[in-house]
Amino acid sequence: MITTASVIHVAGPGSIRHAWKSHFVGDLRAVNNSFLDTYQLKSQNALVDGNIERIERGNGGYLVTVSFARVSEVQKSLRYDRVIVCTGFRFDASIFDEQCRPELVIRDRFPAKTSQWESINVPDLYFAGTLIISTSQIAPMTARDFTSDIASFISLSHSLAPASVSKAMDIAGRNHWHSLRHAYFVWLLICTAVVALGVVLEEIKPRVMGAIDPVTGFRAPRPIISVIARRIATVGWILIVVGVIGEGAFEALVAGADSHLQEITDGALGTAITQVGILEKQAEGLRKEAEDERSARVELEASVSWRRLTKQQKFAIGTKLATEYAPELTSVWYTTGDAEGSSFAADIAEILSDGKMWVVPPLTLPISNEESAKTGDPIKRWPTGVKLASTKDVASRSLAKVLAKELNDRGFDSGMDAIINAPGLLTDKQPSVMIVVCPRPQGPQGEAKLRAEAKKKQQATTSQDDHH
Amino acid sequence: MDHLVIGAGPAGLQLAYYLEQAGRDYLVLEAGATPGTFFRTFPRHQRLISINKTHTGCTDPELNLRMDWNSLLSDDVGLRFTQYTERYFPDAEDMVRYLGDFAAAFRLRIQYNTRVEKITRNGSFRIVTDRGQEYETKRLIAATGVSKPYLPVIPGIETAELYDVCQSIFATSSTSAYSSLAKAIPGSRPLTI
Ligand SMILES: Cc1cc2nc3c(=O)[nH]c(=O)nc-3n(C[C@H](O)[C@H](O)[C@H](O)COP(=O)(O)OP(=O)(O)OC[C@H]3O[C@@H](n4cnc5c(N)ncnc54)[C@H](O)[C@@H]3O)c2cc1C
Repeated sequence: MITTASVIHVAGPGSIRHAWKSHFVGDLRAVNNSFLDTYQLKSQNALVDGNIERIERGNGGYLVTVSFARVSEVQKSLRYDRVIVCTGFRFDASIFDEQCRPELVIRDRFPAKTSQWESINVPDLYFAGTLIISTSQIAPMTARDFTSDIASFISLSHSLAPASVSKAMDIAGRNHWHSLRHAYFVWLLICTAVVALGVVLEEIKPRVMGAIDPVTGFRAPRPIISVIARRIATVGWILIVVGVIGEGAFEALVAGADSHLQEITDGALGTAITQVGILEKQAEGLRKEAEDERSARVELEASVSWRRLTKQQKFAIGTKLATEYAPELTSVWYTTGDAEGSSFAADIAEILSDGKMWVVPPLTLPISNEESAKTGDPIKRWPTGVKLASTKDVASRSLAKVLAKELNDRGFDSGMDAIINAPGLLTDKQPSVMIVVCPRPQGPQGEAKLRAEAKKKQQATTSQDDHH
Repeated sequence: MDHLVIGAGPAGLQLAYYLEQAGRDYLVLEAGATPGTFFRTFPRHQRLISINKTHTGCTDPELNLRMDWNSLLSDDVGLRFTQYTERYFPDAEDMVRYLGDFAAAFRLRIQYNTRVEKITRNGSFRIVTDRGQEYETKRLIAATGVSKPYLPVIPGIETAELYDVCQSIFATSSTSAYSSLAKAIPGSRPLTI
């Protein structure tokens, strides 16, 4: 849409993960990056890093309310002509009747399954392909679990290949052998039953045959049953011999097949496990790298970000000053060309006006007020941080000191500095305080500085403890 | 039946291949007219992001397969996706063609134009299709992909357009992914969530 749209926004709740950083194919791929290019180069398009609160349609367009992820509690309503929802896909469980509907995970988007890819609640129901997504399905998934899985692409030929082979083998092969062995076992049982019948019949033979006739001295004629009994017994014995030999042969066959299957499965599993191990190690390395990089970036940002006072801070300092020192003539200065300094000077002027002072709005000072530095003179650096100077009267001096302390307490380097009066603006005729916002000191300022100091302190005490 | 597979996407085909090789009793049911129906619509701009590495500089088929993001596994080394196009980011159309050939080459048992509509269970699974056929199977494998859009809970989201069906930002060209560049109404302000 870049060619024709005037403004394109892409919104999402998390920050972007680049596939070239995470090494996960499901993250943002570089082929889809050109949009980011237009954003970074400020071509009206933007990434909106936040949660969409609601979408309202009307007047031929949309009003979309976004709460921004980075700035707490800031909501904004933005106008669009079209809103296109690209929030992903899910498994369709609706074709399953309630009594065999598989349980779902990850906001009901994927089926919950065992390590065999069988449904956790419907036995004999298996899943394949993009549906095999997570490694952990019991715990609610973090984005990490989700992305560290590689099954979401066609590339079965990578890590999935061995697994899919062993799975097909598992489902097809083993089940086949099982049913064969089962059939054979049933046959063996029948044989045993036949033999048992023969034995029983043999047992009752003498009684059925009858005793010797006391009159004739002849035996009673053999009843037909004894003939049948003998035959059954013979057949039974033959069957049992065949059965025992067969069982032996079959056991050998099954054992052979089992060990063959085992080899395949072991081989496949071995490869898969090694690969998983390598991947996990890589992922661990990447996670650490990403974390290191993130903290390095945070530190870097903290060390260059503009000095800012929040509304609450300004108000708190202002009220404190008002009760003790107002009104007093104050003037705020910054050095020529220092945009950051000018912004911070404005913040300080706002404190003073909250504090009911008589404020001369921020003005610039030439960067060098030392007169006539000559070529070849040693280069002197302009001081950094906020410098305060006042007339000699107690009230003005104390106001300057208190303001310096308040700023220092909030992490902004400030201090008294007589040099600042160089322009000769402070005369004892008119009590006043002069605040000069000199260039930003190196390293973190404000809250970032307080945090860094606290961390340093903590490290110092723990290393001391270690010593003891 | 022993094994019924729902869906003839890459996953369904790969399973069917192994079931066929093992001489098992199986059937694949596919809603679309060909294998890989997903790729007839998705990605909407019809250009894959799975890399097609045709030139690896080595001859070891095992190694080449490792570089190959798109091929299915089979004994036939000629049946690799890399033979279908040289394009590094291939057209989705090539994938559909490849999957079709794969299914045909191994005579996989697939019934097309058949959508599974209802699955019940009473010991074995009973499957009812939109053509009114019924199947019974001991084991059921769902290879249906992620076939439904996932919508987060946002009041008013139903008034917006969905990626899977939205029109006109995607040209309808069927010839090449490269010509189906997305177009927006000139000067408009779209938001993509
Ligand atoms: C927008 C998008 C873009 C993607 N781009 C790529 C890419 O460029 N490269 C890549 O490798 N991967 C890509 N993927 C991932 C891709 O989805 C998978 O690689 C691949 O399609 C997964 O195969 P599958 O067999 O699991 O599912 P699918 O390919 O989705 O196959 C599922 C099949 O089941 C059928 N089916 C569904 N329900 C039923 C039913 N009830 N009855 C009968 N049949 C049914 C469908 O018709 C379909 O043919 C992308 C995914 C998305 C969402």
